[in-house]
Amino acid sequence: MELVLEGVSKQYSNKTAVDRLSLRLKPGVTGLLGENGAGKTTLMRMICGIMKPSEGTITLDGLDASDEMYRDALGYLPQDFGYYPNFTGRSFLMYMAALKGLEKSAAERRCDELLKIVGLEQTAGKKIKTYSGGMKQRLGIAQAVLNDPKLLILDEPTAGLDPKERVRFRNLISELGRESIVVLSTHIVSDVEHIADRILMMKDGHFVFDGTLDEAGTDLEAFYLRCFGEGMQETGRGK
Amino acid sequence: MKNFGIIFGAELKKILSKKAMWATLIAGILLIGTVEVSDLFFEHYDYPDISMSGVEYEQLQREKGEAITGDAMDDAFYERFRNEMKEFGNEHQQDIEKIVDTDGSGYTDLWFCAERTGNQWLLSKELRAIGTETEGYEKLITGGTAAQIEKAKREELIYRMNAEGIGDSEQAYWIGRYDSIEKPFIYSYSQGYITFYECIFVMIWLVFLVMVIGLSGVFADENTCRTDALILSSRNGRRVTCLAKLTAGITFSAAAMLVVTGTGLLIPLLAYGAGGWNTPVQNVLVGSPYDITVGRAVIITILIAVLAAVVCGLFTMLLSLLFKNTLPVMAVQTALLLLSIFSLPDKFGILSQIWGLKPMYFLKSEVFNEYRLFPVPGGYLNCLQMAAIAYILLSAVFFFLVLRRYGKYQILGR
Repeated sequence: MELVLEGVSKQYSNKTAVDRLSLRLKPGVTGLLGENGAGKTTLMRMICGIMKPSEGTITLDGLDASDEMYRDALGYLPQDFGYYPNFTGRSFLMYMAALKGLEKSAAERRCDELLKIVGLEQTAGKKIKTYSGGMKQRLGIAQAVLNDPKLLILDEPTAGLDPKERVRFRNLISELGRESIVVLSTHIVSDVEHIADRILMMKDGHFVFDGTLDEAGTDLEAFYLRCFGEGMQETGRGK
Repeated sequence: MKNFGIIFGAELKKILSKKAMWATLIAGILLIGTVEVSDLFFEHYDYPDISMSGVEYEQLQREKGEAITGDAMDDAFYERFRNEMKEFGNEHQQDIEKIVDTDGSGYTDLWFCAERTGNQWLLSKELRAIGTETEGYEKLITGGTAAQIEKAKREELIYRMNAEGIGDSEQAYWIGRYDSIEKPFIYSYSQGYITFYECIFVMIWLVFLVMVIGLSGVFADENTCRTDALILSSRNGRRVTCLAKLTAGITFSAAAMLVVTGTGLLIPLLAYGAGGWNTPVQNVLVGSPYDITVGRAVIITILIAVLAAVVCGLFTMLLSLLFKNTLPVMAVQTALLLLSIFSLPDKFGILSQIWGLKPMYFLKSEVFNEYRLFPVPGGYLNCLQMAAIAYILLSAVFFFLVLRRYGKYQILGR
């Protein structure tokens, strides 16, 4: 299983958000770090097939990102995760399961399992509009992994989670990373530090670092600050 | 198309979860129902010797009307009508020959007798069919034979067509249809259907309002709720979801129209009676040249209303996809609703005819008195047939435009 990006660019009218990126990813957790406006979200959207690259191709085992079967293997948690306020947590997951092509009985089983994993089994029957920010984020994580994705894209997944939930979530991602390609974008260096097998750092649409934690040195945050300049204020460990 | 049913159900649930839509629908239906039965509860009839409530008055008209329903409108029919009126007039010092006041301002003694004997609807219908512009119409009502009255009605039809500048071949088409109706006409008290047609325009307005509220967010809400990314990145998020949204929107549009027109029909039928379904449409839509029954006219009206609702629903969804925001969708639709009040003069020819097919203008009882025809190879299509074809074609165009556009949907910057 391999995700291949070849010469991928995204050009807006006055800006190149992503500039001729090429990349090959195998199963494991890849952490994507970068400052705001570096092109992380644009890259993730292109990998998810919801934004067409201006140039280049993205394939998963030869399947193009626009292909239905590519999407069948995909799980995605967007940075600005949206929900339907009048749906209950459970009905939202069942709806997402239908969108992902799961059979009804399998979907029910999987929803129960995930609601338990993300700690929402007690509130599954309540409308999402009554959920706290952290609960919504956990629901978003649950929907992303509903279909046991081979390719899991997580854009700022731990935002809004408390430290305990974050640890639980890291463990879940590590587990998924054993068999799937997981791309994790975050500002929180410690999240990446703990679970990423490979680290990508992005700046102005380019990768400025591509390597393992060992290659980055023992203190990832210090390495990150060296890459992006000491002025960075948003990288606080444990934030 | 895996899980289409579940996704369709979820899309329908999203549409039906809008409280503003339900509030508009319920308030609108209550308003229409109130208007339809307002004569019963808010009218009062005062005569020199008696006062009647709206209920009593309508009861009198209904009893009399239903007693003569099914009777052929032949010489004997008119004779019975006149004798009854004369008898009542003699008892109450009224002269039924006196139709208009001396200053020509309105009906007097004849009208008084008709109201009191329960013949008001019969008299009203006959006067409108003959046309009060016709010379000597008073004598026809009070003394003409059935054949003379029928001849006057036919001439009135030709007079109206001439007044609208309808060509000879089109006139021949309508006269042919009118002449094919079995004569003498069968009379039917059809106040229920008349009331339905009086309010159909309000019903259509209500449905379009409900549809705009319900459907403006079908695609736009995914953008504003930021759920589009989740949908589009899922296996069934493109074609299946788009088809489910379109189908849910179409179902909602058609159902809204059926519920509103169905309720709008049921209320007056319960209040005034349901008789007359199988009688000529002229019992309800006076002066219409169509050779169809009242029931068929009602079915045609509702079917075309449903087709119109589907067109407007699909157009609303197209706007929702293009603007990705409900406000401009509502603004455009409101502007179009207001624009539809205006009509293009006949001198604009085919453009005027095409403009006349717009749902808001088209769905009125007057459409059964629309004489202009659309020439097609081998004959003509009347505006009902043309509207059905146009609405189906437009629906197909909007449907495929949405499918095509959604297929290229991308999430750019927020």
